[in-house]
Amino acid sequence: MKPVRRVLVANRGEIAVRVISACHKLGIESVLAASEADLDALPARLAGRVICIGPAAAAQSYLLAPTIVHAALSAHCDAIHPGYGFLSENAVFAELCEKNGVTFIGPRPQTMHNLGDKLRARALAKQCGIPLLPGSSRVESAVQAEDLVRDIGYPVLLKASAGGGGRGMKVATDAISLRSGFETATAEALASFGDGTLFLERFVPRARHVEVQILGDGEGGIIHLGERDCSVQRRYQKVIEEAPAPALAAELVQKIRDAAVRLANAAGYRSAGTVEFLVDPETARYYFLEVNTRIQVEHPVTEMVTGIDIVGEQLRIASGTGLSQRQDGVRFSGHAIEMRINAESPAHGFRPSPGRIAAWRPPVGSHIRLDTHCHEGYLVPPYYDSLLAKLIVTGCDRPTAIENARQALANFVIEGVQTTLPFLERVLAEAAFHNAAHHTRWAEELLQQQDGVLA
Amino acid sequence: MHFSDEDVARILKLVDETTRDEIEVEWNGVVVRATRTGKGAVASASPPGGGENRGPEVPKSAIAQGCVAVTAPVMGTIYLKPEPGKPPFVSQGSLVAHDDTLCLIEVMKVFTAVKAGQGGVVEKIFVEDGRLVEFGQPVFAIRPQ
Repeated sequence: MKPVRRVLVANRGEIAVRVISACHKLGIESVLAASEADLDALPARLAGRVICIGPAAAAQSYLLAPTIVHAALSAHCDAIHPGYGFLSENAVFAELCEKNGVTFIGPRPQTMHNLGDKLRARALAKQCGIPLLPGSSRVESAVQAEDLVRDIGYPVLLKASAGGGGRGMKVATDAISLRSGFETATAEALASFGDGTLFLERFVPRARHVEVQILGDGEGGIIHLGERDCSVQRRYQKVIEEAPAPALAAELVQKIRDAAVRLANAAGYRSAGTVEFLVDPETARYYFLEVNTRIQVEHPVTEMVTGIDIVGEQLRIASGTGLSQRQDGVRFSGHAIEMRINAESPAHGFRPSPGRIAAWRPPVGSHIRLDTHCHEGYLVPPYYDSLLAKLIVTGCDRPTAIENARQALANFVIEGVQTTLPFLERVLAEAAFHNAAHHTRWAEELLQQQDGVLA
Repeated sequence: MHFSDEDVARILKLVDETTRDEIEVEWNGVVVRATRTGKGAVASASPPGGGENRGPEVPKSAIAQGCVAVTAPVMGTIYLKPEPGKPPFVSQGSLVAHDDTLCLIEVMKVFTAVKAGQGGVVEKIFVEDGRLVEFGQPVFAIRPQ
């Protein structure tokens, strides 16, 4: 493997800032592939060079695989970092990179292909002896779904095989909701992923979302960096994430970590990845959900409790330098919580709120980390996701981290756009969150209880 | 392995004389990499935190009054000739019609023809053959007729 000396960053927003900083820290040059709408944004000012790859619409810029590879070749980049979203989990893109002699910073294309399809990933997990939720392979029709539910039992979750981000997912509690859910999930899956294939899974009502960060050197070496809890979700979108996962028996945590490493080994995993699990706290059982073959939005909480720069590790792996740590060198200390601050209006059903940031005064302190591309005067464009910043707060233990997080939120001033700050404050004030009694549907239940109270 | 002052001077001269913005010389396992920054070094990565570092842009003022800019509709490598060895599609002073092809832009072996979009005289060509052009970058100035 040739050393990476110049990286094309094929993304925008806070993750572009994060990747550029990681490059510069390792003495690697950065070239940013930006849309016309992002030419004045912070990543463009930090990067060594900027190439305008197309207009604002992602379909004509950030999603154009040949254009991005062409830009990388023209600018003499050795590698492409895809960030998250856009082309980050596109095996065809990864293959195009490798075919043209540009290192794709991520897993090998074949690994992405095998793990990206949920049905194929389930099959691999089963081979590794990892528990799966009672469920099915491909479901062809609503009638067939009803047949399958006779074995699985209600409630069930209909899921898009190619899915992600909650699109193409529907809960069914009886035959009627199953039929309507089948239709809407198929339509959503087709519209979002161009593939309407669905499968069924037993739905666990009060489940926790627990995921394990893994790193693979591509030579067979796999380590894990512990687990994160991402159970605070709205419409299957993560809102708050923390590390370590609270209130789980040490034995259960060890089983989940071992399962993730086993799966990563079986897949011959290279670079950073996440193995997601559903945990039923009542029965202390865990089930495989899926593998994310990219750097994740919530990676900073793991960095804060392990002291390991995960993007830096990705760059090392891409250079063939291997991992900086062995498993026995990974130490965990303290607790970290990440809160996603989106330009959305909680008072209006979380509708997007793009616009000019009139005031931006983030909290400061030794226990605060802010990953963002925003600043006073920045125009939040309406074309992309609404993530403004990730506020990451640490503490020596979970109660301290929560208290620090509440203080930090209270001291964060953003004017000009509506944000999810009030919603985050509300969640952190709840006893259920303090007691780790929350689950993946909890935040939505909370919103329903106090509909319209948020302003 | 060590370099004499003369060696260094020779390398610098090499960099000066090349049309490239970056040069890498490897001999006896020693790699010397020289990057030209400053004017004319559009294709090289400048050090981080440089502030103004957008690509080879043409300021609006460079387009003479009464002229219309033809901009790159996609990012890619620009070809001013239909094929190597052939004369260019147009030169400064060429009279062009609305549907005339002015150049080709290539992205991974896929070519896009850029049309004049209006009749007129080619007043200026801003880019060199074989360069990377960015989306929206002015490539030609045409004086409509």
